[in-house]
Amino acid sequence: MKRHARILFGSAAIAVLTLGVASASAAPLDLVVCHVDDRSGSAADTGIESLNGLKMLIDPINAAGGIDGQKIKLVTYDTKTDPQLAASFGTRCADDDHGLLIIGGSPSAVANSLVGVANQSKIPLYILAAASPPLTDNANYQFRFGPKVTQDSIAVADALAENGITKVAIINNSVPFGISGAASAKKELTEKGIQITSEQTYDVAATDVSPQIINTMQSDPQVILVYPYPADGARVMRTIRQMGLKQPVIMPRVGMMQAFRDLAGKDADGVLVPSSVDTKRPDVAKFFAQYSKDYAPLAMSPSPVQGYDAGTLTVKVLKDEKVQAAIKAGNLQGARDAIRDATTRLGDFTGLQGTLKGGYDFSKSHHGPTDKGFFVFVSVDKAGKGMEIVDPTKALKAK
Amino acid sequence: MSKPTLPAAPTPTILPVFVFLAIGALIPLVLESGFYIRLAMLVWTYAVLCMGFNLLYGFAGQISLGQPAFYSLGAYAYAMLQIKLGWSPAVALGGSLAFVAVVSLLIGLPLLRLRTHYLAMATLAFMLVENGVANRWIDFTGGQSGVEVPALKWAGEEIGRTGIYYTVLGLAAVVLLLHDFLIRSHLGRGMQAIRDDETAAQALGVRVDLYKLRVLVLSSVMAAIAGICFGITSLRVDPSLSEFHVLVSLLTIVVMGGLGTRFGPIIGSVIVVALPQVLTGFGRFETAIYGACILVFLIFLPHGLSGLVERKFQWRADRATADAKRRKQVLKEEVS
Repeated sequence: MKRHARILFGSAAIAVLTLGVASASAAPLDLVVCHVDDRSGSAADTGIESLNGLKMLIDPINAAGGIDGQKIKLVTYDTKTDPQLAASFGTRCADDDHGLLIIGGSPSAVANSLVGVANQSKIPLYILAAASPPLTDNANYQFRFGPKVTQDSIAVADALAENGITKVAIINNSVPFGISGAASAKKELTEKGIQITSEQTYDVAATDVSPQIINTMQSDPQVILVYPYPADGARVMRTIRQMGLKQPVIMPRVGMMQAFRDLAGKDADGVLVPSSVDTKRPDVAKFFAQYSKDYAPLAMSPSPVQGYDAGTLTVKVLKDEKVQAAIKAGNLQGARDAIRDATTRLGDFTGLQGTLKGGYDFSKSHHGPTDKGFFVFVSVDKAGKGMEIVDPTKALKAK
Repeated sequence: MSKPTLPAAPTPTILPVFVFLAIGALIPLVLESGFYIRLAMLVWTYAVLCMGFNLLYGFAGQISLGQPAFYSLGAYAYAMLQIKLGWSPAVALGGSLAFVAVVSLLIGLPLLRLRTHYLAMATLAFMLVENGVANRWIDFTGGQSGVEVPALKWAGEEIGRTGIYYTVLGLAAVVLLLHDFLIRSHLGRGMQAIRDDETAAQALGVRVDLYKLRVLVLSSVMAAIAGICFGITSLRVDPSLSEFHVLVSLLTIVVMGGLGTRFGPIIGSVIVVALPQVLTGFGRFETAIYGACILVFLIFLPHGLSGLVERKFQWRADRATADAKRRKQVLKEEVS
């Protein structure tokens, strides 16, 4: 009996010792963060700007020695608006680069693919500009920094209802952003009792959108709501101006994009955009001044601040005690799970995006920005070169 | 669109098919990373998609740009039959293939009266319609978010990436064997006769309309199998399956692998799936280099890599036959 007990005790001691040595000798994980987003293709601006915003946060931290002496290694992939390619890059980040976290997914189709990767590979995903509402439904590993398209629609519907607008025409392109944007706007406007006088869809590559504008004109709306991509958005605006329509035009998201404003020029002036960026905030104004100095002049855009805010939370969670413990133990899955949990614990914060009344609200049941107080209205001016925060009441009544 | 000039008929041996399948079977044993296994799954998925296109355009000369629509339809049908009707994966597989076969038959009856670029445009329009429906029928298809494909299970447990890989490989093996059999059978010769000259083929007794319809349905079913492979790999189906980038990938595979060749779809898929991963290190020049590679293939290898290899083998076989004939002639003369 004694002999058996000695053997048992000896085996247990060896096992404990072996495990101890093994865990002690496991190398700490590298702080690998992947940026997987479009930097070419139709949504290139969003990915380029978000990466620049992310670098504006990470580069100074690395220059100062990193987190606890470890530098953040940023791995970047260009998804070219190809969801299959995005899924491959996401998997590469998770399996080959041993990434701790993926940041990216500005077009919804790309974000959709990355959500699949996040759930299959159990890696946290910080989604940037993607507007599709279901991306964070029943979410586990994915969190969104850009608002849902329904949040834009609610902001627009609220502003129109408050200003007594009762008739709105919708024009959208035939890509998913246009279709889902229009569907969401229709739902929110109808709920507020606002009549949709006309719904017009055109192909994203259409060179002539005058039939859609004529139909819109004949329906006699008080406001025109447009959901385009940058290039076709410029064509829509040019046609609206050429046909002499005087109604206010609201263009969620794309109205702020540099590519749209450059292409539309003076035809972009007066376009109203519900914006998740409030440049009246001194910290936001300072950020854009620095961005313009480091990269290229940029009046206002949500993508760089989304990248910056995603970076801010990344640094916060990487410094988290439980995350650091898993990283130091070389436990990759443990670190990813700890990052996910830390995001829900630390994710209630005001970043550069949103207003001081509304920021991010990441918890176990809510994985995105706050539903209220996240938008201001801006108007494009200076022949597309500038943007100014406006009071929607004045902007809508002035027309 | 001009008819393609293609290499001579392939040597009828099935051995290379088994070599490809054996390599495929060994991949999970060699590559442990889930990323590489995913790439291998994508290679087989695109290879299956392109085998159908290869039969239709490469061998029968019928240019259809609607293959992504059947690819998407197969994936949606497979997911919906499980989600909405509660069918098992195996039954949903059969049901979705039958559904796509019926749709392609209905589409093919009027469309196959068209030729060349008219047929290309009509099938492209079908793809756009399918994509529009997938995007806009939000209540049924989930719109741009798509629908989730139920994970494959074995004994109540979700099967892992390696298990999914072997499922995809199994489906690809069936398609590859069928593809090879058809090319080497009388149906394959009939298709090639139609491609070279429809009137002459008809005069020789080939039932042109029936052959064209058969090959359209078959290629659509192959595209549907590819869609199902993608669905079980990614666990999601969305409208991006029938967007232009899929068509561009399909045509790039054809250019790089070789149209009207036996193994062009597989070789082209390896390049198209692997090349973007290799080129990531080139940063902003990545897309330009990718385009330059395609140009190089178009200019210097118009029959793709597979065409080059198959032609080399064909040339060797022809030379061996000529040598044997010459030796026989010499022997005859010596005896006489």
